[in-house]
Amino acid sequence: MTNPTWWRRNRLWLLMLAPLLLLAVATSSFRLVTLYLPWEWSRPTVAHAPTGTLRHQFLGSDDVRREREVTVTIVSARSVPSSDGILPAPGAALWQIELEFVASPDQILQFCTIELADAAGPRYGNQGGKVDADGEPTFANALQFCVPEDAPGPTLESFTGQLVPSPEERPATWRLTYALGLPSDAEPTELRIGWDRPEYLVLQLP
Amino acid sequence: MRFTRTGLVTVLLVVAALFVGSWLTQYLPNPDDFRDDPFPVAGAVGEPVRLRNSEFTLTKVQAAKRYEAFRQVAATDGVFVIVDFTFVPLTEPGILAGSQNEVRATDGRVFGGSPPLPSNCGPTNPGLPVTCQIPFEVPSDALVGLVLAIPAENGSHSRDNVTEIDLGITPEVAEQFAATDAQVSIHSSRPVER
Repeated sequence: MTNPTWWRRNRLWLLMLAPLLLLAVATSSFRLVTLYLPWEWSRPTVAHAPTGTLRHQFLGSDDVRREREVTVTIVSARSVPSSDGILPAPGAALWQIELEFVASPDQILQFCTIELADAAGPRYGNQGGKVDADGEPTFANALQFCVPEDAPGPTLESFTGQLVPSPEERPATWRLTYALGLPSDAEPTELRIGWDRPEYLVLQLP
Repeated sequence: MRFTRTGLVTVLLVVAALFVGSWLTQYLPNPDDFRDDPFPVAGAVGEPVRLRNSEFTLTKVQAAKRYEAFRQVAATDGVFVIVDFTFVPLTEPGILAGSQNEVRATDGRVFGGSPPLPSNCGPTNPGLPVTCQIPFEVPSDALVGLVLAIPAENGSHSRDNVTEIDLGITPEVAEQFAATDAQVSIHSSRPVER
């Protein structure tokens, strides 16, 4: 049974019901925001070009929060028959990517994650899709070495958190080449590179 | 304070509603009973089973008394049920840790965990399937009706997709499996043509 008087008397609360319900849903999403998303690659910096700069704060294994600024440029990205003795696995194509990095020598940049993504959505990483001359899979680490070997810059020990200085000063600019195994029919359109979740840089393939 | 007929009716209605509500709740499902339930995806040998992030196709089920991997041999007083399957991630690079898979017997017993010799599947990229062999050490009396449970996410057999693939072990097959004295050489994860 409807009572017009009751409806009129409570119209303000009735109107507020919808926004209050939305607010309840938003506040209950704290797990997503504080526990899940910070551990995923969830905050992209999209460059819309083959070059871009990633700026963000990260917490090192020594519990110190630092600023990171690094500019990355895709010099070239192409499908190749082999790269440094690595061949594509059956059904795969080998993509060789040359990247140029620009960063000040005090930046901690040792390990990064590099992935290619195509318009259909899947992301392809460093692992899988590659074999050696005997056809045996060359399973690699998901993390890539993203600094010159002889001048890596400062590094953080994973377990002790100790800051290790570079044996020699890293140059301001350096280039590295990577090879990723993708399905032969994949057409990558962008490259994603990140050092510490959740921030990462998205570059367009040239 | 003045008692009115309307007020009394309202109080009685509220008390009645509370009574009916509390009586009904005992028949409603308790969230604690199903909050951790997995989301199983059923399948059979030869059928692709698609989880939210990967696809599995069970290609072969065999039994062994011993199996060899990485030049070492593991033996059992029960039976090693060895499953061959292909695994392909769908959206991002993936790896299936050998210790995460389970087989479940019809009586509720679960077998799995870290196998005597390590056996991972992958890692590999989306669209690039790998073939893998994973052994499960099972007592002979649990063979009939075994179901393979592979989780979508390593370490998570609850609140997420899990395969529920019937290994097709009938009482006759179980008898053969239990009597086996075979030694099987297990290959490590390797890429296969799509």
